[in-house]
Amino acid sequence: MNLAQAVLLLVEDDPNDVLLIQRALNKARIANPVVVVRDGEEAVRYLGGLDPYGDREAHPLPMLVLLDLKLPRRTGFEVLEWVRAQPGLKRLPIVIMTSSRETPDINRAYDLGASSYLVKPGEFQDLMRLVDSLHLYWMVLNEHPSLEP
Amino acid sequence: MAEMTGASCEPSDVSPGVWRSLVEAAPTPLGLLERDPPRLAWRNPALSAALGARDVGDLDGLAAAVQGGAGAGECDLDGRRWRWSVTPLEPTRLALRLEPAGASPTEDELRARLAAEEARRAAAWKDLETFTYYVSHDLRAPLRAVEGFAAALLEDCAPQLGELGGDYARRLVAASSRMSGLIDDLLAYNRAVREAVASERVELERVLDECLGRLRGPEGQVPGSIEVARPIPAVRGAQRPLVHAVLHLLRNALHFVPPGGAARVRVRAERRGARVRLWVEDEGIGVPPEHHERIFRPFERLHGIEAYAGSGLGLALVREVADRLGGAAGVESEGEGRGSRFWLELPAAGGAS
Repeated sequence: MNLAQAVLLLVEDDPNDVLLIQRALNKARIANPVVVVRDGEEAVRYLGGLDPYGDREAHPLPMLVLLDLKLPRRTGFEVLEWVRAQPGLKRLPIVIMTSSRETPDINRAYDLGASSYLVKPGEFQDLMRLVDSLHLYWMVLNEHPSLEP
Repeated sequence: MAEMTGASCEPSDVSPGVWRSLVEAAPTPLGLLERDPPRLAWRNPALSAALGARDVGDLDGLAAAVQGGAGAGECDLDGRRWRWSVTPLEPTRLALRLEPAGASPTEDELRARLAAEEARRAAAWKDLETFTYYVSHDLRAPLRAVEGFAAALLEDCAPQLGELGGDYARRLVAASSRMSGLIDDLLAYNRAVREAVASERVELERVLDECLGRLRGPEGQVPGSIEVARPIPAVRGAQRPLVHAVLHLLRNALHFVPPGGAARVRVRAERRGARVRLWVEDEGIGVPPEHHERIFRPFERLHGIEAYAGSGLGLALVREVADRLGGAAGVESEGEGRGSRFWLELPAAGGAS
């Protein structure tokens, strides 16, 4: 798989956070295509190849998912639970990226099968460093599973 | 009047006026009832206070009891519950007596009240947890946006902003950073206070090691010098809140130094009877005696944010944690420029755990 073409799926409802993450990716010169979905239901539709995301050529499965917890329609936890129950998706690397540093949230995320848990930094400088590390670790260094069951 | 048994005087020796005074002065609501028709012929001040303008007909079952010659019942008067009883005195007169109902709770009632109190307290803590959760998630998001876009303005729009615009944008960044710190401090205070229950043996030396670890920069250096005089005895308390408290004391000692000055901090402990007192001594700006108590109150600060950053919660946390763990906290300082000696006192750990 061509690393540069690997898709990053960002599940985030806050338009400001979306803009800031995209800005950080640009500044870090990360050129991977980024798909943004704004709520938990859209995330399930995209990953499940449901309408309007049926065409996998146009809407490829991501190499990495960045998942917020606080989402409309379906929460991040529900999305996570759903993904881990799909035979063709359950190995998909999912990194939680959220505001909460609370232990119950962290533990629950790992219980439901999150690959990693990150807290959105308060300062843009730190967001840039985070995005850089994220890309290097999860998209360059990390060995990727095949999603075929 | 009924005879007083065991009395050292015969009823006839005592004038009616004296008997009347006795009944009038009684704290028990007492009254004299006439039988036919049932009415309250006389009431003592205590009964007047309880009944107000009410008469026999106003209390359920009272008239029937009077006509029947005896009886008892309960009633609600102005928000208080009473038990009334009627006893015969003479063929045509009866005594009415009121007693507060439920005056002495049974053991079951006490247990029920305790359980209700516990449930109420648990609900209050749950509210606090919900509040903390909300603060943690929802307050940070707009703050991120303010900081992020102010920084973006500075970077991407510098020419259009000019000098003044750039200054405004920098102030936005600084202010949101300060607010982020305040949120962190508030959450830490909240959590430390919640967890400050004296439940375990805590090795203060390990607490200090953890604090020193947190204070170290990326190259492993501590800003300023901190000297720890070991050994430091163990105490009875809770690990995490104590780490927070000691960290605050150390951070303060490193922070409140005169401009351009280097921080020199000394940590030592002393046994005081059944307690251990941890001293954090510095050569910083000191605390004038008139402010020694004030600084431990939440949100009280002695310096403007321009001079020394801070939320005003650190020492409040130290004192609250100390108090809840059965200890105390305080400061000794001669004043401006004379350094400070902050102390945190806790019950010593009893024997090996």
